[in-house]
Amino acid sequence: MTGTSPGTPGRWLAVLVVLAVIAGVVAGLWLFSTLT
Amino acid sequence: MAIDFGQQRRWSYVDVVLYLVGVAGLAASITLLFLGMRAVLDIGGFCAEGGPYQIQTHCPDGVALLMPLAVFGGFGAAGLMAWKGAALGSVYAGLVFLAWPALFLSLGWNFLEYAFSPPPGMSGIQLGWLIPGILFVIMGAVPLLSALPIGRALRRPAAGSATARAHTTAEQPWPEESNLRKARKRLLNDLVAHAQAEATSDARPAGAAMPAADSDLVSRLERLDALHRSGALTYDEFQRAKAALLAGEGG
Repeated sequence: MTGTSPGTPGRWLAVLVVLAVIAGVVAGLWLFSTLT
Repeated sequence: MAIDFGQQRRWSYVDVVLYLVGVAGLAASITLLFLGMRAVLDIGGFCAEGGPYQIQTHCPDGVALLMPLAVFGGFGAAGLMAWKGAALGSVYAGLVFLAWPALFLSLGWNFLEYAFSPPPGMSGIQLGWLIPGILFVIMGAVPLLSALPIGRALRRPAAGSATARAHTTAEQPWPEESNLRKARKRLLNDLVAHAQAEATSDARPAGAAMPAADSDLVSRLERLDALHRSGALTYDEFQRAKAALLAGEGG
């Protein structure tokens, strides 16, 4: 995955995926502490 | 139309945003399941809520709502991830399968942790949590290991080895078995050809259907086999005669 292939999202999407996972975990922790 | 994973497809930034929502939603769902399970294990491992029943152990506040929310939300998020990931590329669609090991390893961790250090009121190692803990870890770790490069390396022979070359050149996964089948097929073909040649021996010169030496060898082997089957030759005699025949043929 060099991120240069036309038609394929670049490496920036892999970074966004990692950030989305972290955001999801934080959201889960927050939701749990808020609702319980 | 079949979904064409691996092909480059058109995608928009809406796809990217929805895909990331799916990723975050799935991560949040697994986190909620992990925390909800711990809350239930803290009060002994089971609880109930709702219905016209007298409940012995109520669930911790909010857990009865969050657990089904996490389960169904997780399914929805995984679906969104697979759907939009297919537009972004096979790698991104395939990431959804990491949810399986993430779920089973995290819940398995809970089981194992609480099996060895149970909540107050319970003492000793809790077998009822230890066994599912081990099962969950196996269920989560095995697919993960087989997906990782190290797992693939373990399953495939080292590049450059004879087996690896056989794997890459032969279509059959088991080259030895393939060769054995070929040899057996060749022998059967020879026998059939020999039988046909014998049947038509009046019409054509002997051994015309196959090389004369092969035909002769096969017919001798057949005769030997018939003698052995009839009891005229013992097994040892048969083996010796066969070896001599084959050695004579090879030399």
